[in-house]
Amino acid sequence: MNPPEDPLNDLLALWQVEASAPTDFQRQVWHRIAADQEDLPWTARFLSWWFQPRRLLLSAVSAIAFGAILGVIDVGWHQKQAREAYFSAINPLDGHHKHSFATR
Amino acid sequence: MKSPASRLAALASAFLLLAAAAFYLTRQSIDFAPGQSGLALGMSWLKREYQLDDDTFAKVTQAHRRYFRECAERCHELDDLNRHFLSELQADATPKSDLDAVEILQESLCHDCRLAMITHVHEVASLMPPESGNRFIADVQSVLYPAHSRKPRRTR
Repeated sequence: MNPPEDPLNDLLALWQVEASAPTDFQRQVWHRIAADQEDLPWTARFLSWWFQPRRLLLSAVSAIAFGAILGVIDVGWHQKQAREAYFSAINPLDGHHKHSFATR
Repeated sequence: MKSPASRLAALASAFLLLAAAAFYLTRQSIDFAPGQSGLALGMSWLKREYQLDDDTFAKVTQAHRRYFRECAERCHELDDLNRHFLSELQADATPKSDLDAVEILQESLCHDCRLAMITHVHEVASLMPPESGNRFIADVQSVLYPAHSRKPRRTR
């Protein structure tokens, strides 16, 4: 069963909006956005610049690459230390010359 | 609602955590002796650097144990000699031991130490595969006697 027709429907169908945006509407909108942006603190502006998929992805990749490079450098340094530890241990004229194995 | 500064800090922390995780994982995956130090680290380096299998490494470790035991004995002898001479000096300004004789004895002991090291290096090298052994001797020379070293190129 259909509901009874609302008498307002005919009136609404007759209603026509006659309005036009001012010619510089878009310019005004962008001007207001820009003005609002200028009022924001630098952290908010930086965050809105950073918080975009491409930049976030780039940051994540950079962070991983940075960590991995540091890891490789650290291992290289550890390896150098190991080499020095060995040669110091076997050299009787070196101050770090050892007489026994460390417990492993 | 969080302030922009705290959101920025949270984001930066997340990326720092990511970098730390990458650092840790890289280190764990390529480090040959994590957490080791001193001679234990040196021995792990030796095993990896000269590609020693477990049997060879066990023999090399035994050779090192013997060498370090001999070193300890010589160092005790040297300490005893020095202590004896010093106590004589403290008791009397003109000690009974001849200074030259003590020096000769000290030098002789040091010479024995160097000789023991060279013998040990050659013993260790002989336990390794020939190519690794030659490289080991060249590496020892380049570290201990840099002026006389002729280091061969690494094949790895």
